[in-house]
Amino acid sequence: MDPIYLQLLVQGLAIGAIYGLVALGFVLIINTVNVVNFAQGEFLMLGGFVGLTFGALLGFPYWAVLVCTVIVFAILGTVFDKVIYQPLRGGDFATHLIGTLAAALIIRNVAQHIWGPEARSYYEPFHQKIFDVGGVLINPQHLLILAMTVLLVAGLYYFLFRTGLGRLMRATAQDRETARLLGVKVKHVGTLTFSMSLAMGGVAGVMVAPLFLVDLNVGFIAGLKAFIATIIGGWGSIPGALAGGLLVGLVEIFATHFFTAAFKDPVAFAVLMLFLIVRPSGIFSERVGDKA
Amino acid sequence: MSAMLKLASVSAFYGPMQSLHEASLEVDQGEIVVLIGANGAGKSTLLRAISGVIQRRGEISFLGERIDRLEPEDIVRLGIVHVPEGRRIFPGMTVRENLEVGGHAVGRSAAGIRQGIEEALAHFPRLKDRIGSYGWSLSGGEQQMLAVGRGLMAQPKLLMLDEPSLGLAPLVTRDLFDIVRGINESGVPMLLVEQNVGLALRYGQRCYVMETGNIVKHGPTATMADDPVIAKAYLGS
Amino acid sequence: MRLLQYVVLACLIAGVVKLLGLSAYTGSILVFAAINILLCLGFYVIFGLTGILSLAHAAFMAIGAYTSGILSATYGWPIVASVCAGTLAAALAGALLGLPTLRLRSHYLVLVTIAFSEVLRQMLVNLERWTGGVTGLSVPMPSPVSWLGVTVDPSDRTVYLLICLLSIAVMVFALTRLRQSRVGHSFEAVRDDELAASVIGIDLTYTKILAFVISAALAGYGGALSAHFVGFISPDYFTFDVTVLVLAMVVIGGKRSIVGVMTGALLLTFLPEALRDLQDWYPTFYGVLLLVTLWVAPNGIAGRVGSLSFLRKRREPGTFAKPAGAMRP
Repeated sequence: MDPIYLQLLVQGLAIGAIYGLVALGFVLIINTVNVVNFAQGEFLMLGGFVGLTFGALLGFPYWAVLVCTVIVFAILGTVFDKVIYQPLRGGDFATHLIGTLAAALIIRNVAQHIWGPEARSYYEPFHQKIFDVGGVLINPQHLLILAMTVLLVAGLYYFLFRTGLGRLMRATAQDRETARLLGVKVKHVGTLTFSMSLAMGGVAGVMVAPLFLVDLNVGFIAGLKAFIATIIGGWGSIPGALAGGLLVGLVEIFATHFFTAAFKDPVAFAVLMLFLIVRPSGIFSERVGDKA
Repeated sequence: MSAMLKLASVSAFYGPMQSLHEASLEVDQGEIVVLIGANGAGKSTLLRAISGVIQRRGEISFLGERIDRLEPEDIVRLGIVHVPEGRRIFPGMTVRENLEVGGHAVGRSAAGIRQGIEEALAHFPRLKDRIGSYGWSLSGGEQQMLAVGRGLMAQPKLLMLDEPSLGLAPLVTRDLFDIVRGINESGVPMLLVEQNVGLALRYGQRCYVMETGNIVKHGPTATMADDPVIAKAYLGS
Repeated sequence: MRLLQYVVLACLIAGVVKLLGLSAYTGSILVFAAINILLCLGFYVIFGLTGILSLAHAAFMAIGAYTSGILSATYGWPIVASVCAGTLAAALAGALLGLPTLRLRSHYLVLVTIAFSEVLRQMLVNLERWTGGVTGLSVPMPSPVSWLGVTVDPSDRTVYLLICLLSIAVMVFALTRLRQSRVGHSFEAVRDDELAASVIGIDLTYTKILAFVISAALAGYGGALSAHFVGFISPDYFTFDVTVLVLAMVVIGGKRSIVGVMTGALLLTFLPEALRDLQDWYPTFYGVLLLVTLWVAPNGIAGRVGSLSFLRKRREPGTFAKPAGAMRP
């Protein structure tokens, strides 16, 4: 087999994993507080800039960059919860959409003032080195992304299925009213959800930065792809978000290879429409009992 | 003897609509108090007002302390546990997980939760066989038992049950109510909402009758059973 | 008000502007304000009246602008004809987008419309041969017309403004009538309760597609007008941000009333001028305005003002019964 296909596979999975992480954060918020967060993609964008700040500007070692990113975004999550979500709680879909869109606007504008309008580069930790393994070109950043995604998803599953707090989160997602009646502090669960979700987006942003440039405008497309991944994977399904993301990533990379880069997004859109026509419930269609 | 739970002129609202009008009610130590009335009479609303999940006015006291300004999570932690209408167990979680959530929700320790599960299973042995099954796969009766068991995990000082017999076959209902009585006899007073008046009068000691958001009658169930108004309206005799 | 009264009002405004002898820059802002009003009226039809959250407005603007631009620049069509073609093309696109999305739930629908808009924008970038790609396309400005011995020069800002104002006059008149008609009530019924609307016999397909067509046509018309005013178009002018800005105008001004959306358009067009030194912060400003609107005035400025009881219109006896829950502006 032509080694190019293996390279494309790895690349597609890596990009897909990034989309998957953003989509995961998206789905957690949908499940627990029933909000479609249109600002989700902006946190991917911010992640790149935050990572850049800690890594390139402040000179932190890479592991510290990741840890600090998680902390920063966890805090941002609580702010987002208090400022955007809580005041609009109980509103309809349009209200939450407009509210999170407004948040996205503000985030992007503020980011522009903090870091300037130009795209920046952030190539840690591998500084764009590529390895040649028996004729196959391997980009270690792709492997790092895949490894970290596996870790994060495993961590997420452990949290949701093996810890008390995680069970409370699942309970709140399945039946918020009853959870509240049982004494669950649903407000805190909501805040935690935002923190986790934004942190995942932020870490994804740090990890994807070396593959492209750190750019103010990536948020929109990333959010769009995450949204598409969520629908393809099955609305509200956690494995679905990941699967959808991987699918979008693979489709993108292979489409770019067989056609041109111009087809990247239209192809993803075409896959979305295909699913909506043929299987609107997605890959992992939601059954009442399956919401993780 | 001062009442354990005392409502004085409590009103409740769903938005602008008033669904409970100045209700007054008491539950004493050790009793089973039943709340009966037709559909929409406001029985569930009254329980919800006690639990703090809807807008309410008036005085609600529990063990001498006012609770009408508290959040639901605090009220549960004080010992008032509400098993809602329609079971409402978590469908995507196993029996064990449902029970655990009951304990985690009030911050019970891991050891306490383990013990609580054992006690719950002792009350409802049928759940032992289904301990790993998902909520959505349980029968109506099993779901109701699970809902009560889950409520017990919070170590209630007062247990409120909303229509536990709804949708259950008579035999299952009888088993359930015998167990419920057993729980009461082990020291947990109860406020029981029931559509099935016969059941309510058989298991309860005192009874309140509700109609369109008002409490219209109350007294010991023994006298209520003979009340011709009740008999005509509900038992159709 | 009758159509003639609107038209007279439009002419009066244009006349006043001419008399004031404003600078070219201010004249431009006024034209943009007028075009924004047209765009908002379009969004009002689909979102305010029919309750469909379709975020493809920029795409329809682009279709109107590029169709008119290409026809006039590359194929030499007269501008009046190309603008009409642009509007029709956008209307057609509206129907084509509306058709497959009829049964989609709101969160799916909004995604499809956003994705459609973005894909269209990318196509404009990639089909360089026709559209000029990223570098954009020069679009001819309208040339002077002589008619009955009077020469009118549409490239004069005041004249262009008059054209826009007359368009607004016609549209406001038409929409006010539409609103009171059975079709208008169908729109609102769909917004308030789709299931109930279908049960009482409203053809959901027809109603929704019509809403898409009208709003897309207005967006396309606005796009074409702006293209021939600026003289240049590029895909950058039709990003999702543009749709969000129109959404903001409609929500802040008041999505339920024509006066509301006009207010929103005017407010957000003039706001950057008022914030001259802080123009870089403009998105933050209207983002915050949006949030504040959602918090304290969900029906916008018009909604807030309208709830002051002495301003509330007296309900005329004998008007159609509105579906339960439909709110007055």
